[in-house]
Amino acid sequence: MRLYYSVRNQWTDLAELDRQVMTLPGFAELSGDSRYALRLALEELISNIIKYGYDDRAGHEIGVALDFHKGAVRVCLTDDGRAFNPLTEAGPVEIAADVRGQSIGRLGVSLVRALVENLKYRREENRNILEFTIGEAGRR
Amino acid sequence: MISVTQRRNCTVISFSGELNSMTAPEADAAIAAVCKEGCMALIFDFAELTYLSSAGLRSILIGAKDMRERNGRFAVANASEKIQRVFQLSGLARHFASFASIEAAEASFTGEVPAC
Repeated sequence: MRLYYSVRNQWTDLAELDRQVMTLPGFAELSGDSRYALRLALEELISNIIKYGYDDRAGHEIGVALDFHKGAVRVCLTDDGRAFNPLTEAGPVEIAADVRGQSIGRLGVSLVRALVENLKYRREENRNILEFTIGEAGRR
Repeated sequence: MISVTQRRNCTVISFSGELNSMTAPEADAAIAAVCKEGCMALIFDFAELTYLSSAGLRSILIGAKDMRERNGRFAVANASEKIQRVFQLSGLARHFASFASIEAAEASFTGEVPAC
């Protein structure tokens, strides 16, 4: 079951996406850990795009594709924000760090890297394209 | 939802439901208010917390940083396995003593800690 959402770069859209994802039959078929990981990954990555992705105040569309299959999910996020590769940008945060700044953004991406599988990033035609899976490792 | 309870030797901030991008501002305000009052011993109670993201971690970190800068004590109590896992994966678990109950966390605050 493949589903596609177009999310505006607004907090209300992120909250609505979260609500909708939790009602999906495929979501219910994920393990408890995978459900947590999916919600967390979507929140961390999309909130990063909303907060740091754009220099303007215009509305932008963030694409979210979810492909549920046998207790796992494949995710693809696309956005037209500034280039951001979470595979190279993430890093641990020290408690003494500037916790009000972007170090916390890196913290969120570190969590994503720890929770998802097969994380791949590419930049195409001024768009970030991020793909990953959740739950596949547990099926092997 | 967030509630603040005053115990004999410490203040307890209890979180319920989800601590995420949407609810973190409420947590920020509650934690800032407790710190502003000069609290010197603070317990983050996660007994009813079901979800924690980096936005929530940020709120907790800001509180912990404030406590540390004032030589206060802080600890986590009643964190579920899922919440503990988020702390561990973030690399922040080493900064927070974690206890199975509020009483155990309070007992860890050894020495003469003034009431808040």
